[in-house]
Amino acid sequence: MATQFGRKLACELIFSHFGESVQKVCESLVYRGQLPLPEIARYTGMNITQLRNCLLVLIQHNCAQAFKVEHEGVGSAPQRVSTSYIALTDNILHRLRFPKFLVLVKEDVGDQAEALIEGLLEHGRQTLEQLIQRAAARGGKAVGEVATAVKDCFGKLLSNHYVERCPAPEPSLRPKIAVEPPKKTPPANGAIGEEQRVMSAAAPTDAERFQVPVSLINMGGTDMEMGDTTPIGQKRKREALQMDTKTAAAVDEKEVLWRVNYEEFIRRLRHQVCVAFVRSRVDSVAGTVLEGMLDATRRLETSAKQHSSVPVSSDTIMNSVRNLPLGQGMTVERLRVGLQQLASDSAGYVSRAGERAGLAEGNQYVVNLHKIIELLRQIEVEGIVLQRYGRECCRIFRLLALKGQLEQKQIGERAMVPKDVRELLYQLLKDHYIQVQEIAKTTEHVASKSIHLWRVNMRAVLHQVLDDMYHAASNLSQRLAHELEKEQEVNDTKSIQEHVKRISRITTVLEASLLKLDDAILLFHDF
Amino acid sequence: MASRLGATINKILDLCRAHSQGLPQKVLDEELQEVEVEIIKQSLNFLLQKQKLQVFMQGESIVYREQDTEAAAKFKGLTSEDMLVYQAIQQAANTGIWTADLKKRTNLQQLQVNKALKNLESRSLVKPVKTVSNKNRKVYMLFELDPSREVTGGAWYTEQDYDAEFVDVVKQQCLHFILKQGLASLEDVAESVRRSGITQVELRLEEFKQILDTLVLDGDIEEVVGGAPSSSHAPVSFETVCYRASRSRIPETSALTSVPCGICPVLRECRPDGLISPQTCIYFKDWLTF
Repeated sequence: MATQFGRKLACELIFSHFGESVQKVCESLVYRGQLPLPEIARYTGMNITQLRNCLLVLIQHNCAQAFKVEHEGVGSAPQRVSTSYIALTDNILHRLRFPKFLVLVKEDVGDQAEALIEGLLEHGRQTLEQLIQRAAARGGKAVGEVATAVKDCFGKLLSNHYVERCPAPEPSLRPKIAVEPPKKTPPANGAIGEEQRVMSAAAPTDAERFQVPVSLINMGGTDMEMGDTTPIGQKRKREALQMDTKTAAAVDEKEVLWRVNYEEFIRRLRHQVCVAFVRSRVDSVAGTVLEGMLDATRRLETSAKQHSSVPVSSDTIMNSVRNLPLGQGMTVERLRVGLQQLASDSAGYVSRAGERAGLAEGNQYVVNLHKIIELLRQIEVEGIVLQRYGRECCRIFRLLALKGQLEQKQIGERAMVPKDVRELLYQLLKDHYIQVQEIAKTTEHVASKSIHLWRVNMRAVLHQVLDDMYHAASNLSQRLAHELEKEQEVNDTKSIQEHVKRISRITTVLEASLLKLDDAILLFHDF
Repeated sequence: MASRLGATINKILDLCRAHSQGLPQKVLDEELQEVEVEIIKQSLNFLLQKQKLQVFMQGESIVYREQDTEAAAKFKGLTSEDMLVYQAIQQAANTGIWTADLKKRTNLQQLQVNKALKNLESRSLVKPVKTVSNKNRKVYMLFELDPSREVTGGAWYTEQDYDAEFVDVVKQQCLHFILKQGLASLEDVAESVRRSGITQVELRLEEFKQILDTLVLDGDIEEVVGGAPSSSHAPVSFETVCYRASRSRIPETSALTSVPCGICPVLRECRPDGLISPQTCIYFKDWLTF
């Protein structure tokens, strides 16, 4: 669900990272949806070689995906296959948060891991060999010296799902089944649905995605998940491969492309936000319990926007909590109290699973991730209304969100703003935070005889706020580019120092604001 | 002729006294069957003119009632138009009636209505009252009545104006009390505010509820059902709704609103190279001037 300004921001990011021609190609894909090569050439007016290079850049950086489309033969014409390209807007926007990804992996795995991820982010896709070479070049050491350490670290990243194998370069997409989605959905949604369809067609299965390369298995890393998750079929394949392990390892190292698994990073950021919220809303113990629950179930999540975590027993939670730095002194009793608190809170952070299943299920709990995220979004929106329009408007907004539909007079009484209610309502209406519905009593729609009901459409508000955020983010980065450009024109030597000071402050403020704004965008779009 | 007129008048008054609930036209017709219609008409008119008789409509039929002597003195010398206006005002009770509606109701000319109102006002029979719903409109009601809440706007209005300052003072007092107590019921809050003596206005429980509801909407406090008994004297039963400081305040800052675009009134008109653009934005300029 990329909004209008989300797309604009994506194109601007591509421009600042890869330059004008790549941006042109990206723009045509972002705004027009899937396109075959000749069409892109037509829209951009570029020659094919240049265009091909631009597409390669986009694909290398996981910002676009190629796929085959089968066209059914018409009449006597045979069935033909063509290749189309589609922009992955979400992945492009993830480029905003690379600094966050690096901080996260540094805290979780360590400095070397950070360097590896940084290399992958910089180059989009790389083989293990290239990664090792880069590490060697950076440390000023020979390849042989660093290989083991890098492989070891890479293994950790892989077992934590921070990196994954690249998706199929060109999956085929079966023609859409005749059942068309209802026409009500706006065209924009159709295009985005397509993006997901292509992605899922290209995505390898989970087992393939995180399959450990042969050269790592030989190192005998016992903590790797190879043994328990690889299906039998693959085990057999592995046995076959072992006959010529050395060649296989070499091929693996040279040919298999790896990339950063954005989904895992987003998932972890999402969990962090949930835990921090519960910690501040309930208490530290509850936060730690939640963190333990999410840690224990993270691997089993199937999407980054997981609705609720899989059921987990209190014993498992206990083990998981004890592994956390804050949870080492946790007792069974405190855990029980913490869980009870989480489950009984009206916000419904956690609920008991399988109560109907009886004793067999035991005490199983699930984290209602979507509820926490929804609550966070609502609080953020309320804060925005409060900042933009003041206390009274915020009161009205909350009243309507709570009560559904009300008339102007009722709103004035309940929000205790009988005099200014009309003005306040129109302010909110103008910026689409609330809606008004006319219920005419007469066929002529006489205004004085109609009832006007005011309400909050939360979905529309969230969409609007997200678009505003993208807009603001886009403005921030444009202003930053503008300031930097302006600064280059200054060559008055006298004030150079002052200018440098000023521009560095401006850069700090704008970049910090952009990162903070991106936190909110993550909350509204990716969580 | 005159004696028959007098006799009829007396008869009508007797009948009225016999029917204290009011004398319907039908009964009157039956009782005075033998009297000529012309005579009845004259005697009724005489009585009405002398303010001895009142006429009402009860459903479809007309009902007569004798005016008591005290009231008769009050209305002495008033014209029938004055009486018509008076009755219309009387019917409106304590919500009052607007002159335009008065005109419609009585079917009189504006001038006649004005004259009647002037008469009635000078005799302290009716009074004009300003309403809160329509500031420029005056409504009339009987002199002895107190205007209803709809007209005055209730406790939160002073002189027909919504007293936001007063509301705010009461609100702060309520909030202060709840924060101090930790947990308090509606009655506790009301009691404390009354005792604090910050106001002479008599506030009812409904009004306190209204205040607390807005505090809840402002995210300052939250409702809890039951919960631990407060430190106050009254034991809290498990069904009572109590109030305590809210655990989730509405955030005072947000990522969006801390950049100029988040509170920009013309964000929708802003585009690169437009009249309003991020490059030329004055809000940005102010923000980035150190």
